[in-house]
Amino acid sequence: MKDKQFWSVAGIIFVLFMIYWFAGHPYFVAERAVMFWSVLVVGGVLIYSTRMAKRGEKITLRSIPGLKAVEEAVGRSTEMGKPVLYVPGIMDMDQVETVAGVVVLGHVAKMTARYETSLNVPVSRAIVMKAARESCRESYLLEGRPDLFHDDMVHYLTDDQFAYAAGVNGIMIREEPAACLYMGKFYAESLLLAETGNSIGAIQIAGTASPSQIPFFVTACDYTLIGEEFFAASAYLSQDPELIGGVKGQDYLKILFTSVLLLSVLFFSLNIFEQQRSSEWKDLKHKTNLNAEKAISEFWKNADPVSRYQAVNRSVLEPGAERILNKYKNLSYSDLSKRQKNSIAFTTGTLFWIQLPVDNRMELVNQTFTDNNQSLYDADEEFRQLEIVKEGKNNWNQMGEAERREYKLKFPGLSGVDLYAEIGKETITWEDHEVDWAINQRSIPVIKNILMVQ
Amino acid sequence: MFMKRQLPIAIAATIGFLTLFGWFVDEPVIKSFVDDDATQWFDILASFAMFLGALNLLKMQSLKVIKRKKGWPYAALAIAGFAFSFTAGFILLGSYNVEISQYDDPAQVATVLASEINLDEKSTANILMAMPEGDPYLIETPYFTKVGADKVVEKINAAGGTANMRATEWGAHIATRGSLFNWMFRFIFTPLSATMFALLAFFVASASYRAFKIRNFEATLLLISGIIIMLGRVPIGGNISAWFILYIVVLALSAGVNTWFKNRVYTLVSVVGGVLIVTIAGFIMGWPVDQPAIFYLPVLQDWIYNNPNVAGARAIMIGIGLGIFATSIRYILGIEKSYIGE
Repeated sequence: MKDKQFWSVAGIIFVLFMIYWFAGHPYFVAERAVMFWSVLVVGGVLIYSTRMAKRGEKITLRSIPGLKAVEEAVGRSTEMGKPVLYVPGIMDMDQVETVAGVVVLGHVAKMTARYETSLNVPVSRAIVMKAARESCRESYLLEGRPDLFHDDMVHYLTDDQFAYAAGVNGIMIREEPAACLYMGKFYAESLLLAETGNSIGAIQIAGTASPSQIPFFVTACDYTLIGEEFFAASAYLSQDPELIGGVKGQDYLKILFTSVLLLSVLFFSLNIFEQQRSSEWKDLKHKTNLNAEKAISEFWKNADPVSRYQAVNRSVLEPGAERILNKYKNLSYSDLSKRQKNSIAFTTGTLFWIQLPVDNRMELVNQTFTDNNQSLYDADEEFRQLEIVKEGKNNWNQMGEAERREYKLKFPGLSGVDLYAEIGKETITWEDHEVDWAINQRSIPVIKNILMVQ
Repeated sequence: MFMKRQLPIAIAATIGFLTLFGWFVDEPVIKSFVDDDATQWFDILASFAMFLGALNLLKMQSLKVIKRKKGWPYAALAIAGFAFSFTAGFILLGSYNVEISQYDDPAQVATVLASEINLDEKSTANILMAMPEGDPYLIETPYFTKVGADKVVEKINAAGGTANMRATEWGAHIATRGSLFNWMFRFIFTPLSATMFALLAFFVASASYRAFKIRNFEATLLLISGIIIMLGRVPIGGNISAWFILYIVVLALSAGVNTWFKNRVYTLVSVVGGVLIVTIAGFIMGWPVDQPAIFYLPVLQDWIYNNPNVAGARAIMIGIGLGIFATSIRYILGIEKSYIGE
């Protein structure tokens, strides 16, 4: 609220966009408007917090043990006279994690320059090698120790995942670094590296945003930076106000997203959305459940005990389970519990209403709405015209040059909306648009649009 | 200074904004840049940058050999491997096919061909006789050397057939099954990669052993959920009755009562009472293996996997997504400049 300049610029952007929007928003993909505004809101919050921090707002970061331990690890290596091994991941600079890893390398290089510890950075990509070298060179220069820097500190091994892991493991076994830092994007080789580091007794600090590798690092390393802690590392190590402000902005966004999540859960639970209160919804729910009960009852009547067992347990008959088949032989349909019926529904594919994915339910409800209001649908010329133009525009965008020339020759003198309309008339199939018509009729367009975000 | 500082930041900002907002723009040139060209430019740059990496690798290994540093034989092996791959890819074609265009007497030709395709003479003759009229027969596995292929051609010609040698095209020889490069990939590189991957199994076991030691509440929780999921996912888990698990739960709760109250009477009451309640319930329900369902291992592991596990993973993913966005915005806006060494 205090940053007048920020709010002025935000206001100007908003007004300009509104003018652009109501002027017909040419070249803008309208279906992605919600995502566009989300990007602006998220970016705006981050920029605002960064500016607030730059203006002197005091921000306290919680202590992250893994980052505090980095300096300890470098100190340990210095005392033991052994090198520090830094692994910036196995991917290239097109991954944000690799860039974050190179940034953290810069801070680690400052520490090794300060303590005169040797640093070994084996990399898997040539571009990462160059970027990491520049980062280390600059760090050593800033610490006033350019004499300690040499190019071979950062060296290339191989692009291949397991060959790289073998190479790094070899370095660990031969050179026995006292500290191993893994900061970047990792895949299956993460545990290979971490376990080898563990076997040589090195202190290990890992940081990655690969969710599947986090458990391996947590298990094998002394400290792990999980997800966003890794991205906050640069802010934490540099204590730069701008970067710390960005971290605070992320926390604001987390609060915002959590609130939206909780509100959405509440709205769905209270059936606030019109589709769930509609008569089509209730009718379809009743019909679907009735059909499912009939189908399951029929299946149960005709199935042998083995099929019954497998349908209820959703698994094959395990050896030794034959002794309980009698139970299934004598079990009548009316004695089945809700859980058992749900299991059978999954196995036989005749699902109850609650088991249908939300998208399928919405589609059915909207299709039924259109079927029940067929005359209105047939008479809605404005909708038809819009859909024809949209269809034609989509097809035009996907066409190659040759096909476009063909259509231009076929419809000479036409361009823009008129041309799209002619193309759309040729290609449109109305069955796909009946659901769209129903959605258009709902009286909460904003919520409808949010639900339809792509 | 401009080239090292401002220009890289300007390039990152321009391309970053273009790629970010290009997704919302419905203009073919921008769309094709964002969807195709940008990634292709990167692939081309990365491919050329490979030379830098390769030269660096050679330099490092060569220095090791020259200075006879510790482990220099391995460096020599690395250089030899590099040289071999380079030779197999760029210098030696390593893929020469032999094509038999005419074989008036299949049985005679089969006497030579059989040893080349590792079949008996009769089967080989049958294969030749089954070939459609006029169709040439191509020996499937190419020969590494021209000389080797020529020798086979001579033998077949001497046996009454008409054979000729066809060299695979440059470029295609990399992927051609049986070529020298392909042989190196299939019989040297792939087994070595598989060996490294196989080590994971042992490392997972040793990491699990360390992780599952009961040091604190979290480690205990990890151990218990690990056991439930491991057992619940294998056939034996389906054979373990839910009542057995219930008895274990009763005993665990009693252990908790004992730890909390440190009173023998309370502990005895909780154990005896719990066992009695479970036993009576079991008799009433008829001891079904899979009831109560929440204590049946396959159902329990399914619940753990699909509920708390997914919730935790999604929470981490939300944080990661925000972190990635915030970091990318910092790079695009030029707030974070460490990646260029500033």
